[in-house]
Amino acid sequence: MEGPTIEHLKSIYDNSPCGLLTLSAHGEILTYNQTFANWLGDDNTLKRHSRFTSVLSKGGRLYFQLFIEPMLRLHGVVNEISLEIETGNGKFDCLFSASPVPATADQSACYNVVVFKVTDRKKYEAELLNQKLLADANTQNSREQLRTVAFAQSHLVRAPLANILGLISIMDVLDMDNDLQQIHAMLHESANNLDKEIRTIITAASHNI
Amino acid sequence: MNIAERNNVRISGHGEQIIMFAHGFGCDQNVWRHVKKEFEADFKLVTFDFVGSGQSDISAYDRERYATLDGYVQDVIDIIQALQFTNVILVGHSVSAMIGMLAAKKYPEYFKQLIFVSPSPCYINDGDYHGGLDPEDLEALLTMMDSNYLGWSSLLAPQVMGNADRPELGEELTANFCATDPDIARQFARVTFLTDVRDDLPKLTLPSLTLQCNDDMLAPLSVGYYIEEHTPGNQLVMMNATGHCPHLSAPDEVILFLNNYICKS
Repeated sequence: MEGPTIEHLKSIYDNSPCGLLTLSAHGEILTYNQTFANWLGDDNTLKRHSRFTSVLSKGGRLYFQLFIEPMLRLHGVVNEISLEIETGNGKFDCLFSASPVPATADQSACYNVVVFKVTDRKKYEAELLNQKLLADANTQNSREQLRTVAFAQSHLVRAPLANILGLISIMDVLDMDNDLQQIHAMLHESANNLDKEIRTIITAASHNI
Repeated sequence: MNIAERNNVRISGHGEQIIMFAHGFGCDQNVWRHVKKEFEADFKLVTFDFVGSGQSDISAYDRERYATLDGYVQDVIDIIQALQFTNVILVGHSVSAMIGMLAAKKYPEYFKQLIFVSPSPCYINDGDYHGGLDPEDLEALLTMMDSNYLGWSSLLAPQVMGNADRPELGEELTANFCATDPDIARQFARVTFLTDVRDDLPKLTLPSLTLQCNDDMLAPLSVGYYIEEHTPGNQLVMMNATGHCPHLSAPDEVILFLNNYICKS
């Protein structure tokens, strides 16, 4: 199969469904395609040697200086960085990827950059993030509730139980006929079992908190 | 716990005089690779990762200890004490410049001089003080970091550098740059950018050098001037380099000024 013609390449370049740019090693724009120009809108004042960061939000500019520049210096490539580009009449979310172009006789080393608009994808991500935050909050709430229940159980329930156990042991020293003694023994056993069960529940609840 | 392992301490060089390099927020010790090479012959070079960064022992990360800069200051002190370093020249980038300053304030006897690369004692604007960031800028940065956690993961897989003329970069680089746990990174970001150690500057008793870049959003010129004005014994140097990481974007210039400063004293 033959390779693309020059006209074909020009068409690909300017009609790509993505922004294509080259940046200097210092982050200045050397070239950008028609798609990117269209995204920036009619008021676009972008020109050669503008800083790429001039089209980013403030958060994006900070992120660029703190992370993207060092990553490019050390790795030479960055992939799929989420950025927000501000245009004359709004802004859009995009994914930014860059790869190095080694220096030639005519040109210093620079970067090839691809920018994809990701509006719908961003909504999905935002929704996912929201759900995650909600789930985390719910887990935290459940934990709080369990903690409260365990606390209530341990104090509210155990106080009367302690009274029962105490009364049962007082009965020990009383004069009881056989029937009473049997009932006393059964009371004692049941109360002890109840005590054991409550302790088990509270322990299990504390481990789950 | 073995401190050298905890902080992934690497020692190299053939000299006696120690230069210790402290990386800034968002990075690890790999950022010093270009600069430190020049000093291998004549100095003993120490690089490390703060706990929670790079290849430090992440199990040592304690939210309470590292909730303030003091936790990171203690990392520096722990390393110096464990390895019995003396007369240290500490080169700190960004927030680590101030971490170094605080360590030297606590234990001046451990240090010889301090070098601040793109430093700032306070990032948030405060009245007449222009730190460079408004509080909403910090939130915007944290939002960016949240959106790009997955972006960092793409760097976790080993990648061929494709640098035919710099093969050593491909061999040595682990893929762990910026691969910090995102929760730790978030907390480190808050600690870093909510720092305010302006009141500590006048108490520094050691000589220091500031390397100031142009067009640095995080350490603007006004901050360089502020440090010079309020820190006894501080010398301010303006570089041609731009951005926040001159040790990466203009290592030759950084080396030149480091050399001048270190060797003339």
